[in-house]
Amino acid sequence: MPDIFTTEKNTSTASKTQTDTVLKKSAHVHHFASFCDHPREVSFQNQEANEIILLLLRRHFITNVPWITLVFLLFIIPPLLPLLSSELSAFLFFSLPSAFTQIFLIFYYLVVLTFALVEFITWYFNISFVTQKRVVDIDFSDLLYHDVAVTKLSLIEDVNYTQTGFIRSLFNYGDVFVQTAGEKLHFDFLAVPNPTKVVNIIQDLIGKGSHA
Amino acid sequence: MPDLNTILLPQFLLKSFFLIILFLYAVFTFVVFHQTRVMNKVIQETHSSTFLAFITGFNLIAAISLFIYALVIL
Repeated sequence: MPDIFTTEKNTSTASKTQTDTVLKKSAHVHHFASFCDHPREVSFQNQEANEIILLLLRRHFITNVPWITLVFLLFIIPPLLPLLSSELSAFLFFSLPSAFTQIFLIFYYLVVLTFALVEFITWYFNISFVTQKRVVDIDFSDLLYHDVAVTKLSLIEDVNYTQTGFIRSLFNYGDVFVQTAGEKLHFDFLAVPNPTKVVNIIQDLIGKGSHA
Repeated sequence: MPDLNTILLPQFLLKSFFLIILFLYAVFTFVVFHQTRVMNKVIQETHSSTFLAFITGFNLIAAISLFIYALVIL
């Protein structure tokens, strides 16, 4: 009997030490981070009380460059329109009554802003978490679709990544694929920063899981 | 109540077209705002969630304001 109590005490002490270590390693998530080790001030729906997020992953921020460039171009087109095509600008600005032109211009800029906003929230809400218990993958696309997939670490069978191409090598991001024995067979973390580190962390966790 | 001659005026048709488009746009911004609120419940990031809710709320208010503005001045 006393041995049992001793073991429990040791286990709880070890657990407390592990939690303390994790909390000491916690990093403040700067706004809209795409990779964060032990993030603080972040939580997700159905997160358990003693569940600690070890890794927060989003697509590398560099993947947003195409739409940011497009938004920039769309913003500067109206002032440049008279230079590009005097006939088109004359049609738009002089053939319509001034009130219509005014509304049209405001509407145009609001649509560009909304486009940027939708692209941004699509990037922001496509997020994955690795905790000490499970992997959570949240997919958000086309505004009206979101899917939250969860798998326990014990169900993970294999983790690998691919990093191909000049841009991906330069900015060090790639696709991480997690194969599981669960209902959802694949968890794909696309274009995430530091894929090697992500794979190592998940492999370490699987190792811990199998030894426990 | 506008008569048939008024309805067939190009300016009236253009105004109706603008208002319909602006109304649909306002509905779309509401969807963006609503989805952001839903997703903010799924993922909570202390500062970023508030910031996003503020921006999408501002976008919705801007769209509604533009619709009302167009209704008045066109």
